[in-house]
Amino acid sequence: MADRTDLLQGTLDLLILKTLRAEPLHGWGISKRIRELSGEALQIHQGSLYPALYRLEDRGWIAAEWGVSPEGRRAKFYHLTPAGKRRFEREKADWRHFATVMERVLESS
Amino acid sequence: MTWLGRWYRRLRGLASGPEREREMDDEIRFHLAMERDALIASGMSPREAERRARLAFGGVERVKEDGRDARGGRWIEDLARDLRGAVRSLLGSPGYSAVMILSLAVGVGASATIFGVVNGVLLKPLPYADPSRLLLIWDGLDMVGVPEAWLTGPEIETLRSDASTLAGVSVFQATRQVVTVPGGDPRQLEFTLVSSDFFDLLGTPPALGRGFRPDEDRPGSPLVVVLSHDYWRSAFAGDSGVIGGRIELDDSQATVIGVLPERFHFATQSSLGTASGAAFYANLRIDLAAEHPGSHGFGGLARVAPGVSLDRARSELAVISARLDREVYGSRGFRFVSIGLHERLVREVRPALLVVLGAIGVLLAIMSANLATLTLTRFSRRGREFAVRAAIGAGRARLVRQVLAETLVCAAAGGLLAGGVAWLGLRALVGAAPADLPRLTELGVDPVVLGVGLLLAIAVGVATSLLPALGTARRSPAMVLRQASPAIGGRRAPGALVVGQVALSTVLLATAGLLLASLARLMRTDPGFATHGVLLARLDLRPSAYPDNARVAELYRELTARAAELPGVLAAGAVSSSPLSAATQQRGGRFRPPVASDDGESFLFDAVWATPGYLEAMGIGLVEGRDLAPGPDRMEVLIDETLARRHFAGGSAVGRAFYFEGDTTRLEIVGVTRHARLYDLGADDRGQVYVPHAIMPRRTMTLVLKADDPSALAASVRELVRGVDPGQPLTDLTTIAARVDRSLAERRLVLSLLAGFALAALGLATMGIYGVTSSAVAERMREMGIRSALGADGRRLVWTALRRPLGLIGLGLALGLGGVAALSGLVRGLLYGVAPTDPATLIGVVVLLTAAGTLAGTIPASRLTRCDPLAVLRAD
Repeated sequence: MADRTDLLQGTLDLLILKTLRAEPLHGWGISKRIRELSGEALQIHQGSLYPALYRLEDRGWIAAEWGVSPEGRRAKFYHLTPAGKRRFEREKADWRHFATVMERVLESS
Repeated sequence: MTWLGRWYRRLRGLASGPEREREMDDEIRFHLAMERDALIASGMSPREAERRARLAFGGVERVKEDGRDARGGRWIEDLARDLRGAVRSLLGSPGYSAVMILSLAVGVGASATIFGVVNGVLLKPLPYADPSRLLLIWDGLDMVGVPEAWLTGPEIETLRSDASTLAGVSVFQATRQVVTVPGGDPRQLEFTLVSSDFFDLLGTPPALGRGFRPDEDRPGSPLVVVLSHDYWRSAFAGDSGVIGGRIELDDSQATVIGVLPERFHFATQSSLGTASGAAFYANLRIDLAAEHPGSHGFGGLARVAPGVSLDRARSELAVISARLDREVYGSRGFRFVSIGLHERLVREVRPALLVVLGAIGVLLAIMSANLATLTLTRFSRRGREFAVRAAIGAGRARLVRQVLAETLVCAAAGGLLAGGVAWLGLRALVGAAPADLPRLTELGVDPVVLGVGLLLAIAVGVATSLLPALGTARRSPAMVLRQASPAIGGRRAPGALVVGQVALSTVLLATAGLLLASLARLMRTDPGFATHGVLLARLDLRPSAYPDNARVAELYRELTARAAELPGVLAAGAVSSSPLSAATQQRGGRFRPPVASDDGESFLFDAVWATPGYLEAMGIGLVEGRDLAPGPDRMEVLIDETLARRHFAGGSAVGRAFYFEGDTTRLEIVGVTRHARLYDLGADDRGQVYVPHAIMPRRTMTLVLKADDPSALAASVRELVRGVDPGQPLTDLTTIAARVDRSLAERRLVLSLLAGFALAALGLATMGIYGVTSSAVAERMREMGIRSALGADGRRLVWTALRRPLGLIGLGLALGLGGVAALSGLVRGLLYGVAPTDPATLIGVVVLLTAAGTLAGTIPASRLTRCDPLAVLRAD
């Protein structure tokens, strides 16, 4: 597991939504936060984050503005839209459901 | 709403494409910088940090490409790029683009125009409730040569009581009377007497006021009228206070009770040439059951009961017919004839419209063939370009997509122009058509027609460019590039297209030629009356000024006598229904004394009330006997040769007796006239009986003056009438030549449309032949150059190049002539005195097409004789 670099697409989306649920972040911030939250267990290819961000933006679940990072650099900050918040709740529920089912299947004798 | 937002973002993104690319660059640069700084902070050397950051990120270009895809709307950007490319490419070859766009605009525009007319006149349902259930019912009296006679009163009562499949049977009777509205001149108008259920049966309530009450068609009810919208506007200036007002019909007073909706129009037949439609509707106040059983005077309009099939209604009518045939008609083969109202309405005009519609289809096919040839030529020129692009990796789909983009741009431009063309075309057509084209007011360029036109443009464009595009894309680039001359093969396709074009042009040219020959023959035909040198002046006498017959008779006697003395007038008379005036009246008559029942001796004829001298003034010849004699009590009539031949075959009619149906007065036949075609220059109609005006005076008569220069008499005729009665207006003043001209309007309209199409077809086919020859010549230039260098005769070379185009023309002509023969049934109805396979016309078409084709082929072929063999060989 620790070696996984590829993630299911939906999983990456969920992780991004989760990360942005707390606060607006720029792309690098999101990738750093995911690494931290997962205890470095989830290693995503940093580049693959961006297509995912654009896709979520296209769906209208996140939106972005240009701003200035604490380091004084111009950066694009993403935040969740109301639709994105609803989407996050649903994906979270779906994921939990999926996990429970998998758990049950795997634990059955 | 999310999808809406998404599209908004995509479109906005599209508009700011370059900016988004820049943003993506900035964002990635920011990410790499942050990662590098973080690594440096953790103690890495800047160089190593830079390398590790890039490694962790992955391929930048790959991420950007994925990012573009992920953003959605990618295809819009591609499409936009393709369209931009297409516009650039089309602007690069303006000649090709202009021809493509203009061809599409004209072809589709013309089709949309004609479709608009056909749709408006033939296809749109009539403005009644559930019009498909309305039937017109006629008496089929084939045994006396009248396939559609009006019904008798008792028959209508029988239908009403016995036909359970009919929800109702309404009666209508067209009539003409002198109508005087308050403050207006008296004018003879056509209006329709109807039973009180008429508007209920049609399902059309008046727009203003009320309709007829159920008891208003009984004898003795007050006379009331419902105005048509047009008449209300023209005679009452659309004043809504007209309800309750009075108008004068002949000598009785009528009350206006309602005004009909704008689009309401009731007619039982229509053509592109003759007027129809009533000014208003009045209540028919008679007891139908008490009408004479031999008097066929009533139109029957029935509505099939809900839930009953038309077939069932018809079979019930057949049963009732059989009974009436036995009981009333002595088993001589009477039957009710029923026909859908709409079917009957368009019966006369349908053949012409279908031929025009067919012609437009043919023209469209020729146009498509031309576009295909054009595209094919263009692609063969661009073969190298495509091959190079394919060689450097452009996918086949990409090439096809680019071609489609070009087509779409052309088609869209052509389609938009076509809308304009259709709009102009329809306006021109409405202007050129006789003002009484049925439902003319309903014509318009409607969005459906335009939409169909646009789709048609795109379909034609895609179809004509996709095939060559696929062909080009399929070819191996290496092969094309290796070829010395970048010509694409596929010569068979343009060859077949030229054959098709020539064949279709043959059909169009032949049809137009046949119509032209018909029109020429029709104008030379002898309709039984003089077609020029006659002035016609109609008078509608005011009933108040001429209350009794004696005064009416006296007035016309005096008018004709004075008119005959006018300088320049060669003969003068007066008549109730002049030729081609659409004002004839039918009556029943018999040559034997009347009996109580129907003995089958009655016949229907066109009644013509005339003064002595009318025949001479109108140029109607006498076959036998003499003209009507002057005098108030001459109980005599003239019959025409049609009646004489049918009823007095082998003997003379002169001296025999004639009776009006239901009348015992004996009128002696004193002469037999030529048959004058009162309705149509090209068709004989019912027999005619001329009745002396003096014994049955009519208030509405037309003065007929024979003169060398009739139009010069107009002023003196006005003067003459004013001199006899200053208060009496002339309703209509025209010449017989103008009348004849107008009666040919429909044929002329169809002819000019077809002639236009045929000329366009000829032009297109010629262009096609030119194109094929010219590309064949270009392909064989090298070969011809060698031959020429070896000493071949220039003229022989031209002949070699021409052989193929001439073969194609020959094949096309043969196919086209076959098509003409196959379609002869369709055009036969429009022809007059010309067979659909008229040899003179067909030979003319063959000569014309061969000449045009040879000329078109010779121009490029003659290049061969001028070419310098050395230059050609050096070119590659």
